[in-house]
Formats: sequence, C-alpha cells, structure tokens
Amino acid sequence: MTGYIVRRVLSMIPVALLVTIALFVLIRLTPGDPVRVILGQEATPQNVKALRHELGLDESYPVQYVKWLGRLAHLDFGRSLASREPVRKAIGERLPATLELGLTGFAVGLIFAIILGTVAAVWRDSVWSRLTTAFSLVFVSLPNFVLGVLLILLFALHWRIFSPGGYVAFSRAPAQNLRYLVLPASVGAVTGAATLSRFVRSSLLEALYTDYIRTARAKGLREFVVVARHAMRNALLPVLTLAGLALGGLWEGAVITETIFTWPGVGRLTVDALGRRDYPIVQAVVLIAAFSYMIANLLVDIAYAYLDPRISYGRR
Amino acid sequence: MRRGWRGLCLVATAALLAACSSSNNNGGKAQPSAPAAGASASATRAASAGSASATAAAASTSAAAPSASAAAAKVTRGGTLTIAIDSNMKNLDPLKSTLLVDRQIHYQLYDSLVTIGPDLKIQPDLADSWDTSDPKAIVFKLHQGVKFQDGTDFDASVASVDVIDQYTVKLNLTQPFAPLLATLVDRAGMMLSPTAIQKLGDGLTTAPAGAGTGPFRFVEWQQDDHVTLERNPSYWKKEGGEQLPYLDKLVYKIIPDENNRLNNLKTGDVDIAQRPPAKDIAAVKKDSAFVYKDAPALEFDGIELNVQSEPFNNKALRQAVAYAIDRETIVQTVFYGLGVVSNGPISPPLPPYDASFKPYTHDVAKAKVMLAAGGKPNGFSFDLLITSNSPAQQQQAELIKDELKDVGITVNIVPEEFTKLVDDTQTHHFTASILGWSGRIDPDGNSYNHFHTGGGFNDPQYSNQQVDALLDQARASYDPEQRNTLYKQINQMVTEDAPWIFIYHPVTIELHTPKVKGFVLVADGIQRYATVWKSQ
Amino acid sequence: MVAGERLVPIPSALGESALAARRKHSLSRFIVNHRVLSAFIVIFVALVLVAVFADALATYNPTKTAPTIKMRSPSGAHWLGTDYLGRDMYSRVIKGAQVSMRVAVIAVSISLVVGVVMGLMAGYFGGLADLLCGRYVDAQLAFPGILLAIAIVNALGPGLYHAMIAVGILGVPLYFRLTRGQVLQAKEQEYVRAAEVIGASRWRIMFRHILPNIANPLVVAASLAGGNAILALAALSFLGIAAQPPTPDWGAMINIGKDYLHNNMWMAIGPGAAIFLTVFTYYMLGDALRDYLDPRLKTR
Repeated sequence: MTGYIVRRVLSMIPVALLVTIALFVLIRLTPGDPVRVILGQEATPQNVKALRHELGLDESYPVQYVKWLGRLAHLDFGRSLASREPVRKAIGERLPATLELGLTGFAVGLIFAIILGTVAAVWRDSVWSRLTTAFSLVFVSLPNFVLGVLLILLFALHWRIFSPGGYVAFSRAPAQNLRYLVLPASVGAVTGAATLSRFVRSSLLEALYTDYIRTARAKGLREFVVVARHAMRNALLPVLTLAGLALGGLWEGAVITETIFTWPGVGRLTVDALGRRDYPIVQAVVLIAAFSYMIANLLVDIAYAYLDPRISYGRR
Repeated sequence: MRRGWRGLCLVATAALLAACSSSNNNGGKAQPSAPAAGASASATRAASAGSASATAAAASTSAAAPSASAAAAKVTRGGTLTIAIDSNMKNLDPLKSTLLVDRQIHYQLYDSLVTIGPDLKIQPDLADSWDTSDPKAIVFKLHQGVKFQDGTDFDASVASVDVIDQYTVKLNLTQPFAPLLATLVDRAGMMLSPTAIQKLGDGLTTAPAGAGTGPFRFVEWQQDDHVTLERNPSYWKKEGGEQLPYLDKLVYKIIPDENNRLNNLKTGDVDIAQRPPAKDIAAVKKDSAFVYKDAPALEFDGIELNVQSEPFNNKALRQAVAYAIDRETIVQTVFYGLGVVSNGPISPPLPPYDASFKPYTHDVAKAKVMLAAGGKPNGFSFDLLITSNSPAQQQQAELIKDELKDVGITVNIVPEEFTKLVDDTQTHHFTASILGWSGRIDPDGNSYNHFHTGGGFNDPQYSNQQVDALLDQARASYDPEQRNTLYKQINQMVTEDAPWIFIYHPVTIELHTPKVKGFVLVADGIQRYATVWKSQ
Repeated sequence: MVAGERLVPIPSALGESALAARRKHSLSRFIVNHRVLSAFIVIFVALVLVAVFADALATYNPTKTAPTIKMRSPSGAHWLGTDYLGRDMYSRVIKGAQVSMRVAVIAVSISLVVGVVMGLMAGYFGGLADLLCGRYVDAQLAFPGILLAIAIVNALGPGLYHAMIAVGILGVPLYFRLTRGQVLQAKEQEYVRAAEVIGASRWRIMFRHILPNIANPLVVAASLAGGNAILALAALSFLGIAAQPPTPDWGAMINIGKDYLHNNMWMAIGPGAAIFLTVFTYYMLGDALRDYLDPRLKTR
C-alpha cells in the first residue's frame, strides 16, 4: 500500500513539471507587455528597460522559467502587476468567497444526487424514477450560464425574492451573505445534482443486483436495511470518486457563476486579471487549480485503493 | 471607464508651460480639490440665493462659505454612503493616475488650490484668492489653518514653487497659459502632504492614508471589490456653520456590470449608482424610489482615425465615413437619447459650443460621392477597435458596421481589453478606434493635446498648421470673447478634417435613493460627497 | 462543469464493449425498437438541416439593424421578438444553429485528428511515444477545462476561430485514450500481424490497417462530442472571448441578453432554449447509443 502511494506520488512529478512548462509557455505567448501594463502610457524607454530588468524579463526564457519555478517552490507567486499587492494576498482574500460558494453548491448537490439517484434506482419503474431521470437529463443539458440567467429572471427580477448579484462577507453580515448565496449556489447544486444523480442511480442499480444483496434479501432483511446498509455502501464508492473529481473541478463552475452573479471570488479575479494581462495572478490561479485537481485525483486513487481490495497496488 | 485616461499628460504639459513643473511632477504638489464640492458647491447653491460673486478671478470668500442654507439645519449626520462604481481603480496618487475612476476617489481625499461649482466657474479652494495681473505669473494666497490628514500643516512649503511668505506662493510661467487655473482644479492642483509622501513611498498609489486635506480619509482598498473611506474629523470646511462632511463613511463597491450597479440600487445594497445603464433610465425616471438628474457632460466620444496610414490618410475617405454614420440613430438607439450628437471636441457646457454647427448629416449619397472622390468608389475595409465587454461600444460598433455596409465599406470589429486598446491607439498601431475624452472645464483641455501637431493625445497624428496656430493663440489669450471665437474656429476646422469622427456628447447622471440629500451634480462627472448626507 | 470532457458519457463505456455489442444487435433494429432514440435522431437531423439551410429559414437578414423596432416582444412579424438593435431574434437564433454546428464540426475535427494521431502512435509504438503522449494528456487534464480554454484563447487572441482551436484542444484526451485503447487491442489481431509479416511500413499499418478497423467507435464518439464542443464554445462566447459581434452566436446572444432581462427577456430566452435543445438532443442520443453499445444495464 505504501509502495503504491509512493509510486503514485512520484508519477505526479513529471506531470506537475509539464503543467508548469505548459502554463509558462502559454502565458508568454499571450500578447501584451506586462511592463506596459504596469507603467501605463507615459513610460519612457528607460523606464521600460529598468522595470523589465527589475522583473527579470530581460533574461532568456529558460532562465526565467527556472527562477519562476524556484520562487514557486517557496510558494512565492509574485506580485500583481495591476495592484502591486502580493498574489498570495489577492487570492487569499477571495478564496473564502469561492470556497463558500463552491462547497455549498457541491454539498447540497451531492445530497440531492444521493436522494434522487436512490429514488430512481430503488423504485426503478415508478413515476418518481422517471421524474428524477428527466430532471437529471434536463439540467445536465442546461449550461450553467443559462441556468444562472434563468434563476435571475425568475427569482430576482420576477418574484424579487433574491438579489441578482452581490456579496458581503459572512463574518460581516451573515443573513445578508446567505441571501446572496442562494442563487449562485443553486446553480452549482442543480448542475451537481443532475450530473451525480445519474451515477448514484447506475452504481446503486448495479449494486442491487449483486449476489450479496440477494443473500441479504434472502436472509429476510428489510428492504430499507438492504439498500441503506449494504447496497449504498458499495454503490457510493464510485460516486465518491466522481465527487472527488468534481470537487477538484469546482474552479470551472467558479469562473462562470462568479461572473454572472458578481461574486468576488477567485474565478472572477481570474477573468478580470486575464483582461488586464495581470499574468502573475492568472499563473497562480491556474497552477493552484491544476494542483488541487491533481491532488484530488491522488486522494481519490488512494481512497479507492484503500477501500476496494480488488484494485491491485502493482503497476497497471 | 473610457475617459480621463491620460490626465497625467495634461498635467505634464501644464508643467512644461508653467514653471510649476517641479511641483507637478515630484508629488510635492498641491492638493485636493475635490470634495471641495463640499464647501464650494454648497456655496454655489447658496449663490443662487445671493452670493453669486464667488466667481473666477479673485473671489475672496473662504471655502467655508456663509451658505447658511436652510437645509443645513435639518441635516442628519453620520451613516455610511455606499456607492456602486464602475471600475476598479488603478492609482490613488493623483500625480500618477490616468483614469477617471481614480479621480472619483482623489476628489474625496484631496483638495486643490481652486475648484469649480455646477456652473463650471473657478472658485477658491485651498487658495483663498489669486492674482493674474501678470500674464506670465500667478500669485496664490493660501487658506490658513488647514491641516493634512496626517496632522501636518498645509502651507506654502508644500508647493515647490516660489514661496513669497508662509501663505503666499507664486507660479511663474514661461509663457502666458490661459487654462492654468482650470488645470489646477484637477489632479495637477491637488495638494499632498510632503511628510505623508515620504512616509508612504509606493503606498501612495494603493493606500494614501493621511496624504490629503480632503473631507474623507483612506481606510482600505480591496482590489476589484471595494474602497472604504472614512470621515476626516478635522476637515477645514463648514457649511452654514456645520462641520463637514456629514457622512461617517464612504464605501465604493466596484461593480463593473452596469445592470448590477442598478440592481444593487434597487435592492438597497447601494445608495448611489454611478453610470447606470442607459436602457433603464426611462423606467428609473418614472420610479419614485429613485432620484434622477442629468446634465450635459464635458465629454466627447467618437472614432479616432489614423490619418497617417491607409485608408484614412485620405480626407475624403474619412469624410465618407462621417457621412455614412447615422449619429442621431446611435444617440437614440444605443444611448436612449441621453446625450446629443457631437460635431467636434467642444462639448455643450463649454462657452464656445456652437449648437448650430452641423457639418455631417446622415447622407448615403454624399458618402458615396466622397468615396469616389477618395478613389475608392467601391468602398474599402478597415479594423475598428472597441473596448471588450462594453455593451454600449459593442452596440455602437454593430450599428456602424451595418450603416457603413450600405455604402460599401466593410468594418471588422476588433474588441480589445481597454488598456491594450489605449496603448495600441496611443502608439498609433491602429486604423480606427472607438474612444472618448472625459473633457475638461477649459476648451484647451478638450483640444490642444488632441489636435496640435505632436500633441500628447494626438493619436491620429493629425497635423494642420492653421489649427496649431489657432490653438497656440487661444492658449495664450486671456480674453474670453477672443478665446470663444478661436475655439469655434478650431472646432470647425478639426471636424471638417475629420481625424476623429465625433459621435456624441453624453450626459452626466446623478442617480440615488431619496434618502441621499445634498448631492450637487457637476458636469465633469466627478461626484463629490462632502456635503452629502443621508436621511434617517 | 461547462467545458469539461465529462458531460457526454461516451468515454469508457464505448471502449471495450463496442465491438462485442455490435455483434449482438443490429443498429437499425435497435433504433426501430427504441422509440426515444428514433425521436431524437429525427430532432438531431432536423437541427442539422436547420443549420445547413439557415439562410433559407431565416425570415430576415440576421445582422440587419432596424433601430426603430428595437427590443420588441414576439409577434407575427418577429417570432422571437427583436434585439437591442431591432434585429430579428428568430433569424439570429436560426443562423446561430449554423454557427454552432460549424463550431462543433471544426472543433471536434481538431480534437479527432490530434487525438487519433497521438493515440495511434502511443498505442502502436509504445515506449517513449506512449510515455510522452500519456504525460502530455495527464498534464492537460490537470488543468480545469474552462481555465485552459480561456488561457489558450487569450494567448491566440479573442475570436471564434481561436476559440474553436481551444475547444478542439480540450477534446484531445478523449480521442487519445479511446484510440490508444483500441490500438492496443488491434495490435494483437491477426490482420496486423499479417501486415507486419509481409513487411508493410509501420505508418502504413497504422493508417491503412489499424485505423479503418477502429474507426467506428471513434466516429460515434466524435459525433456525440459535438454537444460538448457547442457547450464549451457557448461558455467562451458567454465570457465574451469567442464569437464577436455581430456574429449571431448563442453564447454571445445570452451574454448580451442577460443584461436585458427586464427590458426584453426574449433576447436571452430564444438562444438559451436553442442551446438547451441542441445539447439535450446530443445528450439523449449519447445516452441511447450507450445503451446500444453497452447493453448490460438494460438487459438486467
């Protein structure tokens, strides 16, 4: 087991390096001179040259890359070109908002996915099953930005129950914060529930037809116990895998949802920073997102190996 | 968002001409003027009732004008005013800033030597009076007893110019410069505490605590989210005996989406919405939940054309575009009638504005004639740069593209992020670019640097010796009548030559809830909150 | 969840079971027996026809402005109303189908060509080629899809074609993995051995022998991935970096339309419904086809 984990972690290293190289190249390819961004329009050639030197932009790309990597190793993401504040601070300030929105949406989505998926699997041919299946099919096909617009249209503009966008820190005004949270979190929850409920349904279905479930039924256990204790536990394994990956992918939803609802999180920060060519911020966010995704993958693999004895720890 | 970018150039230019250059550039400069609106605006309001004497040349009323307005008696003190503002700031140091949105904050933090009221006339601010009898020098008498927010005294020592005594300074000019006072109203005239400048260093751009004499002082700025300012308890101005400012706190919520700014106002999350969406104004006006006012702005907007490269190095082709665009339809459709068609850089509030001058009307036949005259009877195509994620510009560009198609001209719309667009335009790497100029209270500020050969904002690289001569002459003249005549001429010649296709002059808008009182609308688009208060 | 590769459920299910499944069922009989599938095939064909004949079906020129009739609600003359410049929304939505379908075809072609070539080389050559391609794909999958797409579009410059390239790149891992898996199986087949024995060049074996034999599941996967491509592109357009005005693109229309919800909500509803219908159709087709290719769940 330990060997497996070590191998699995080691195999991440080349991938991680590739990720940093790809990102470095991509950012350097992007047109627009960061020095110009900082200095603005009145910069003299001397100013430009001096700042370029100060930022190390006059060195060769390989040297720049290695130095950048060195700073990354110390978790030094540099300073924002636009505001000159440390990138770590800029991201740190917005991370709570993103996590609040992302995790709430995800958690609510997962709960609903389990309920809906179970209903659809256990009462397989009932109206409820059809309804939940239809729900999941419809909302999986509804892009999150269309869903967001729809929610604003109904709940903010038509019924005026919620605000169409905005944010206030939970610590400052909890009730107000939750009011703002409802609509954007609903987008994440609905999309998540629609995607995951399908997997809950199919893996629960699969589990319900295994021999040990038949055995459990034959022993005369009540159906609830059969489903809840026996089938569910096995069925949730693949679902957790998916959920783990979806958690790593929360960044994706953040970009769009935060844009629609003007939620001041990391997603909106990234979109704004790209528009302003504030590369250090973009680099840092994409890197953090990529690494958190890789780590989520790793944890899922390890959890899987731990929970499911059928997986061999050897090389595939 | 699009205006006011190169204010610093203006400062620099003034600096070149005025010997006050050192003070302009080294940050040891003057101060705030802004919230000046506080005192001075109230003074002007009162002026309607009597003290109309607070005019340009040498008004002697101190800023703490005797405007014992009836309103002052009922004023409610305290509270937080929340403002929805349209863009993140870039630089809170007035001498380095180049964006209009920065000025919205500067005007709360700093005072200038002189200021303006709603009538755009120069009024005293940190300078009680001034003497312009010598065309090549100006002597200011400074207001006494003013303190910077960091506790240091404001006196002649802060301005690195000729100090005559502790409260008298003299600016020497290398040549006569009529717009000087107007220039000093804005960033160039803002006074900063030398102590704070030294202490803050680079912090001046992001957290200028204590640097000004203005009605509010800096608390925090969370990038892309909000800026918080708090009451300056030792502010030097009063209104009708009442200590200013009335509000405890200002919170600027940065909301780039215009619809969200309005939505936040509707839900009560903000008290004031700057730059609300034009499409919703008609409904807002009818709604008693809002107070709406507008006034013609100093701004002009249009399309800059690069006159040094194909195809717009040909005047006839520029004019063909001018005739082909239906500007009235743009004003009505894209801006919902909030503004007027522009026929040059001189905007409606400026004295030389001439409403009867209308050289280009929408005329497809004439556009085709000009195309033929320019040697392109079958039209041509060009790239039009617009600011990305700006619905108004996008709609304008879509209309223009469709209109130009009718005369055989193909427009390729190229959206660029705003700072890149400004950069490309300024370095002349463009063919056509939609931009605007936020406008200045002196016509010189709307014309000299844009249309003089080699001018700092002359992106189109326009050069007309006659225009150059007129601009120089108008700048050196202290005779208002003569200046008006000259600027009318300049406006006509520039519009005729069409280095810009002038499209429209917008309005400045005031929009808030009825709780917000004491607001004074000024055509320069800066909102000053020193005299503003909130009921309840 | 927008741009990712996980929406349409083809990836793993298709792989191994495809060949086996085809032996059991005839596709035509399956379609006939499966009413939902046939219904969605009809809708899908209709969508394709709408895209192809958009110009004939449009009642107005989709980019012609008419400011005097801006922001009208649906009426006999304008079935989906008009937008902020008085353009006919119905015609724009119809024309948008063409834009979307073209995007889908081009983006998926890019994914397909790159992914298949990489998959063939990795699967057939193995060794270093396999290692490099595999690591590349791992690295790409580490990036959140939409962020990667945004970064690529920014590097290339905003625009519909650059966005197509970005979306195309997003799809590469899917085809790479699918192809590689199939090649690994095919490599052991007799016809490949036979070709090797008679001395055919390795490239010839890859492209002339293996590729035709593994083409079917790839084609099915590619036709279904169009839904993902449309969705990803709509998201980029929604963020304002893909289709540029006045191109009648659904994502771009919703982006503008969301600002006019309380002026004329139809500006967002029309294109929103169109995206939904298209993706839903792709999705239902994918679902039904998966049942066909992997019938275990059904027969139980």
